[in-house]
This record gives sequence, C-alpha cells and structure tokens, in this order.
Amino acid sequence: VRRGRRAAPAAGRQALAATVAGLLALAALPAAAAAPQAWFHAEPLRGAGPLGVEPAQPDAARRERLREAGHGYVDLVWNTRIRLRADGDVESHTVLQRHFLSESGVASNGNLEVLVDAAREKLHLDAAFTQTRDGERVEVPHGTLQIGDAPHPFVFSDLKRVVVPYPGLSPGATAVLAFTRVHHTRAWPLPWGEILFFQSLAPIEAREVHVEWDEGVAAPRWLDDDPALTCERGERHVTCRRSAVEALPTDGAVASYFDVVPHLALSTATDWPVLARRIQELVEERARVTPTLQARADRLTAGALAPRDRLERLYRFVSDEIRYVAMEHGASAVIPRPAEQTLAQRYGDCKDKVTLLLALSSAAGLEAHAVLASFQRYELDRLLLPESAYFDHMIACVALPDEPELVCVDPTLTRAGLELPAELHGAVALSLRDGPQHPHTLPRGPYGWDIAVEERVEMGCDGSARRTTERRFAGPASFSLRAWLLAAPSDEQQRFFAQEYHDSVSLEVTPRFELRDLSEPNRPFALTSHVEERSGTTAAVSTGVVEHYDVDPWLITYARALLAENRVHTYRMPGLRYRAVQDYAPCAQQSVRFTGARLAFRSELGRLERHYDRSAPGVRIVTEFEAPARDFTPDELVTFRRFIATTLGQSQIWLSLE
Amino acid sequence: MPTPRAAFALAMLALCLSGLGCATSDAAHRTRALPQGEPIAAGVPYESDAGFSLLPGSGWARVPSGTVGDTSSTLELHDEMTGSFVIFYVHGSAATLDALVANRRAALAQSGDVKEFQEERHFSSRAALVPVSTAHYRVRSDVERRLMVVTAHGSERTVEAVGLMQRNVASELRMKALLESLVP
Repeated sequence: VRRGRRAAPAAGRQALAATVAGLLALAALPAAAAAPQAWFHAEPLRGAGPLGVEPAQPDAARRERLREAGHGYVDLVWNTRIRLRADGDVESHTVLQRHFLSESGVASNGNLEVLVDAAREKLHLDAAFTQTRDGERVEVPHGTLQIGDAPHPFVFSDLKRVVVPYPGLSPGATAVLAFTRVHHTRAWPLPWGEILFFQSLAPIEAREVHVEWDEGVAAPRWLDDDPALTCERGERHVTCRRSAVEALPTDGAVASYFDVVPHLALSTATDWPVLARRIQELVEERARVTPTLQARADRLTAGALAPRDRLERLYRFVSDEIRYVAMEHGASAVIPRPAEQTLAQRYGDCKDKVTLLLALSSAAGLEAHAVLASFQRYELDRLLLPESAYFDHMIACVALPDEPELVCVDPTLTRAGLELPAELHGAVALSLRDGPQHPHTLPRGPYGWDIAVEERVEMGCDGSARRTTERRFAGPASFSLRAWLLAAPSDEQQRFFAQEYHDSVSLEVTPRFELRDLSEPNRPFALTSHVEERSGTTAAVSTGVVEHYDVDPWLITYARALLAENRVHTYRMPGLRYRAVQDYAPCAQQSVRFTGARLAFRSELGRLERHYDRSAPGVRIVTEFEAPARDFTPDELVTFRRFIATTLGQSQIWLSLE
Repeated sequence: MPTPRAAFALAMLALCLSGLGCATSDAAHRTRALPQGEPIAAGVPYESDAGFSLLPGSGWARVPSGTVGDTSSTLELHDEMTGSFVIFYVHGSAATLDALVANRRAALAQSGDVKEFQEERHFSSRAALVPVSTAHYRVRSDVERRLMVVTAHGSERTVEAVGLMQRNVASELRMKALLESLVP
C-alpha cells in the first residue's frame, strides 16, 4: 500500500503495466548491478521453482495472427501460486514466459522487472533464461541483474525493482522468468490482501492463479469480476484460470485502466468497517493534540471566529507550508507520522499532512476525519473485497457547523482552495470515522473547468483592432495548471502562453501576458494579454456599410478540449463552464447597425447561449457555454462530439457597422 | 377573368425584389391569377419530395413551384387564412447557416433598405442537435415587407424557408408555427 501522491491519471497506462504484470519492460537499465541484499537472492539462477519453467510451444497460426495484429510479444504462460503459511507469512511463486513476435517487441519489452517491498518481502529469482528461436537455452548471467529504487523525486520507500535483461533475444525467442516472493505479514499493521489481474496490455495464452492455505489457516476471501474466469475450489485451495486472453484495448482518454481490467481480489480482512476502523485507529493515534499542536492551532486561528475561516487558516498552513516529502520505509508506508513530528520537520506525505491537519482541527474545535481515496479508481463496484490496496491517497473531510455538506480538502496540494482536485471528483473513497464505514465515491462537481473571459476590442476605422483579453481560471481542474505555473520560471510561463495563443488565436502576433492572483488560492488566477491587430476581419459590403466577422477562439479551444476519441472505454468528461463578455467599441465614425445571431442552443448535453447588448456604448456580447461533467460511452461520445461541433460551428460573431 | 388577390401580388413583388429570382416580370405577376392551391392536411407530418418534413396547421395549401419564387424552389406554400407565402429551397449539407444567412441578407439588402434584422439560432425542437436559424427582416422599398427566414442544417441537406407575412400577429404566429416544425 503506497499512499504517495501519484502522477496524474494520464499516466494510467504505465501504472497499469507495472501493476498488471508486476513486470514492466524498461528501455534503459538502472546503473547499479546486483549486489548482495538481505531481501534478494538469485543464486543459483538455473533452478525452476515449484511451477516449472519448460517453455510452452506457441501455436504457429495464432502467433502469426497476433503478430499481424501488431503485438510485439505474447505471454505464453503467466502463473501465480500463493500459499498462506501456518507461520503467518505468505509465499508466492510466479512464472512468466514471454514470447517475442517482432523486433519492436524485443526492443521495448526485452527486460522484465519485479517490484518488491524490501521491508516486508524477500525475493528469490528461481530462473531467468532465454529460449532462443533455435531452441537453445541462454541463461541470464547473475552479474547482469540490475537493482534500483522505484524512481520518484519526492517519495522514498523500500520499494525496489529488480530488472532482468534477457540475452540473445530475437523474434521467435521466449524469455522465461520464475521467482518466489515471501511476504512477512506478521509485523504488518494491516490485513494481508492481494489484487491479481487476468488481462494486460499484451495477449496472454494461459493465466492461472492458484491459492492454497496451510492446515489451521483461515481461508482467505476471494472474489472476481471477470466473467471469463473459471475457478475451482478444493478443501484448502482455489484455482482460477483464463486462456487466450486478448490484450486490453487502449483508448484515447481513459481515467483509469484499473476500472476496466478484470481482477481477482484476495483478502484476509473481515469486512470494510473493520478495515476502516483499523486504519482510523492508526491515524487517530498519531493525530493526538499535544501542547505544541494546541499552541500552533491557537496561533493560526487567532482572530478567526467563523469555523470556515479557522479551517481555511489551518488548511493553508498544512497545504502551503508543509512541503511534500514521503518517507515510506517499513510500516511508514501505511502508518502516518505523529502530527507533532510532521509539524517539526515541516514535511510529510499525504497521510502525514492529513494527520497534522486533523490534529490542528481538533485543537481548533473542528470535527475532522481522514478519508482514504484513489487517484486511479472511480467505479465503486470494482472494489470487490475489503482491501486497502484499492486506495493510494489520503484526504481530510471536515464537518463545519451550519454547513450541510462535509468540506473535503487535499492538503497534499499547494495553493488550492477548500475543494478537491478534479482527479478526486467521483473517485472511490473510504471514510475513517466512527460508525460502520463502507466504500463510497467522493462528490463530483459539474465543472472541472470554470473559465471567465473579459475582452475589450477597440476597433479602428481602417479595420485594425486593439484587443485586451483577460482569462480567469477556476474549478478543480485548474489546480494542476496553477501548481505548474507557480513552479515555472516566468520565461517558461511566457513560452507556454505564447504557444497556447499561437495554437488558438493567431501565429502572426505574440502578445505580452500578465499573470495575476496566482498565489491567491481562493481567487481564480487571471491571465491578461494585449494585442494590436493591423488588419482586422472587417470588410466593406456597400457604401458606408462594413461587416465585422470574429470568433471567440478561447471558447473554441476550451470546448474542443473536452472531446476525446475513445472507441472502447468510457470517457470521463471533466465539465466546462465558460462565460465571455466582449465589449466592442467601434471607431468614432462608425456605429453598430445590426448584430449577429442570438444563440439559444440547449440540450441535455449542455448549452451555448449568446446575446448582443446594444445598451452599452458600442456593443457587448455575452456568451455562455456549459457542458457538465459526465461519463460517455463511445456511442454517446459521438453525440457529444456532434453537440460540440454543432454549437461551435454556430458561434461566429458578426456586426454590421455604418 | 380571375383577379389576383392583393396579398398575392404584394407577396410576389416583394419576393421578386428580395432576390429570390422571379421567372416573370412584376407586371406579369400582377395580371396572373393565383393558381388553385392543393390543401395539405393539418396536424400530420408533411413529407416533401426533397426529403424534409413539416408539421403544418390548418389552412396551408401547396401551390406550384414558381408561383411566387422561381422554379428552383422545392416547395411553395400559401396560407389561405392570412395570405402569407413560404418558399422552400434545398441546399447541400455543406452549405453553412452562416453562408446562407449572409447570402439572404445580402440579397434582401439589394432589394431595398433593410430596416430591421434579428436572428436567433437554436436546436430544432423536432430533431436532435439540428441547428436552426430564424431571421426576421423588415425591408423597405416601395412598400414595407416582413419576412421570416428559417434555415435548418441537417446532416443530409440544408433547407431554407423564406416566409413573407402580412403585418399582423396572426400571420406571424402561423408562420412561426409552420417554420419551427421544419426538419431538414
């Protein structure tokens, strides 16, 4: 269980690859070769393990079909055997036989990787060799095994990766890996459980999971959501199999592949309330208010009477002044540090920061509790059994007096308001509070993006225009942009804005941009640009009459950004609310004669409305576009694409001047 | 000798001047009788030969193509209760609302002084995600004319309906009801 701040869901495919197989192909080797490690053993590397390693013979016709379908490799065998031992440890054996179909498959997947938590696991490599196309067995030299840390700039843990670079690979060869892992569960504070996948990004010919338990050991609970899986139960074992498994189709925009790949869950936890209670105890024990914490809370909330203001001050402190550093060694992977320690160190990971916020809130008389959440899971019915591994993050929720809804915040963020980031909207969660708790989903707001534009266009009589545009960004999806801008040097910011302007508006000019309110978490941050257009879009149509055509490039840019090209999986559209107020001031010799169409496009998918207000000097154009957050199947996405294309296609601005 | 109705003569004159393309001169129209219209059933969908449909109220009759517009029109209807006319033109699906509205506006501007122009765009109430433009014109030449032009952009065709009305509420309401039922 790692509750470090994960990368954005866009990296889901890589995360899936790592988790699905536990074996991630790497393009580059880590620097350090294998050296003696207490948790790792690989001598001799010519064994077989209990599952055997005799390479399977791939069916030639099927192999050719898979190659023609573009697959670089196929996993001929992927077997896992798990034994719950009488001594409390859990032993698992894995054998993988990967058969390569193409040069590109060899180039990008010729290394296999095993991830291991060195604090509570021991790994033994039983066998690692290449079966060449000619049938020769080429052993992986022990000295070429590579060991490294799982890389993350702010997360330090006992997670190690062992990379096996296979020699002599070419299309037609098979890489064989067998390893044994022993989980030392006795000292672990949470019940053992495991999530096993039966599909990956490559085809699998045969996948088997066998679970057995020693005499006297309670049978684990298991449940799967894979209709193609067949399981047989014995007196002290269960075996599940699938064969000829197609590769999991990838798609344009998938919030989480964990929500679409079928899995088998194993759990030794009694039920969700018991698991939640156990983790709640671990957190609350470390969130006790000490005199130091009380003094800090008093200082932070001095003069703030309203509960929301008090929360705001505490949240600002933990969010902005406690930096994110995760030290997740041993049980620290799941147990937070004492709040006072985090306060003293001024750093911590998500659970450390939440624990500190809980302690400060309690000291300030606020009722707060921790909530486990996931950046990578949104489907509640995919949580099959009580299992902490479904969650990868921790947030805090506070019950403020006189407010009907809980206020949930993520103190891992910096410079964010009192709301959750877009990635957590609708995510699965488990509240760690009194009473029987079961998984639920976090509320999902209607608009991930909330963008307001104000523009003034001073029109010259010669068709030129001077344009001042301010865009204000709010909504939970803007948090990550704000965070990136806060961290970026100003020249990088300017390059980013210029690129966006060139992509959306014009290549001909590069405006100067000014940023405002970036460090004000409770205000939208604003971006202003000034530009002078030499030749506008005004054309004379008859004596004394000219027509001005224009578009709202930002409406088009942001609304189009809602689209995705999914063909298989559901698309989680984040939602956009957009409002533009454009003031057009004609030159002194001209006045507005007619205006363009009032827009009143309304559908269940959203709306685009516009009106021209001529009561102002010149003309004011008010445009509102809304597309609330929603999940679209690929078929529904076709309709949504049509809605966007149709409405944007009618959004031209037109003025007749005389 | 049948005498043309005043509304008919007025309508023809107006539409000819509006750049719709009359096959005959104003004088010829003034001396020609309004052909007998073929009543169309009220309250049931009317499917045109060109593939678009309407849901007409009572009192509408089909008159031969070219009666009011030119022969490029697809369908021409006459409201026997108010004297209004509607002429339907079918364009390819590539024709955009922006282009058709601009062309019609320019054509009307050539026929007289466009005193008023107001346009609204919305989705059809009878077809999903079909954008419809409804434009109201007041054009002054020798007489003042009121037109309602509805243009609906479908996936297979774009249909433009040019309605010429008398200046009274009943005409406008009946015209609006007919043209808003247009499905291209």
